[in-house]
Amino acid sequence: MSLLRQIGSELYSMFVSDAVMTALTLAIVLAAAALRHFTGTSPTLVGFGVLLGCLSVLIVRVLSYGLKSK
Amino acid sequence: MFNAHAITAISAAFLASTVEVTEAYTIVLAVGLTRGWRSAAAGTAAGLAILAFIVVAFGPMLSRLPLTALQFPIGVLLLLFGMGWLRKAILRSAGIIPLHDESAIFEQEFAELKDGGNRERIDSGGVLAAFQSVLLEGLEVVFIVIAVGVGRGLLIPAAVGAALACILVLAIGAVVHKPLSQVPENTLKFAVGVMLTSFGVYWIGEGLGVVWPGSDFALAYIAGAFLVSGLGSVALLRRSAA
Repeated sequence: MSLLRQIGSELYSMFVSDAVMTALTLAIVLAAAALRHFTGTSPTLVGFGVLLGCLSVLIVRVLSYGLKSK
Repeated sequence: MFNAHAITAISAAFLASTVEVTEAYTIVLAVGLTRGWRSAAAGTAAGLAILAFIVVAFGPMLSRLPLTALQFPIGVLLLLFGMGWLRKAILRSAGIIPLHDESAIFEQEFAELKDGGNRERIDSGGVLAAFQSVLLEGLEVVFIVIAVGVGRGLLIPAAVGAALACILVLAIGAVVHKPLSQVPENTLKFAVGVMLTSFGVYWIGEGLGVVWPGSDFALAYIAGAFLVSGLGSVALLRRSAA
């Protein structure tokens, strides 16, 4: 049971190292998918939107964690 | 013969496997020195067998699905996984969280395992410690091999890349017989994080019908953007600490 719990915990931490970062990233991806499917937004614009959104989330989360830890 | 996808997939599997096998090797070494090498080998073999089973069972099954059905979900998982590694590597490079110290982990594990057990025969505690270590560290490698390998027929090259890293680390370990503290784990983690996030964004885009300008070259400029952002974040955090 302990091993199964450890495997579960390992799998969770593989994808959720920072819960807020994970939630924001998923929100960006889902918003991009919604834009793509429900509006006529250009796919290239959506692709670069995902890239810029994820870069922003990464930078903001590491800087806020780093500055809070000082 | 190899395009940007193949090179990135094989490199990511090789580098990630180097990081994870180095971490697992530290525990297996502690088990070998305290509870005997037969226990260490038995636990390692059992862990590797389960990991190989997962790759053999799920890899070909997923490979049969159409690429379009895989791109979006696997892209999302790769993005989340890669951003996690990149975040940790940035914070470690900036000195916000401590670097992974194989020597300290070895000392701790050695101290926990040295009392009790039996070196003369297979020791269940030692087998379990080696098994858990190989299985838990290997899960990440298995995910990377399957995620970057399926869909483009790269499962075998990615698995070979991971296996080569495993052989390389174990061969070095067999010679030096001490924790591999010299392996630049954080630099490797940084590189793998950049590769996997790039794969993730690229695949999510393709899954949403994006035709990336530059085709496969898009992987290079997406990776460049994550690399510059990561290094820039490290520089900013270091400057704010000074």
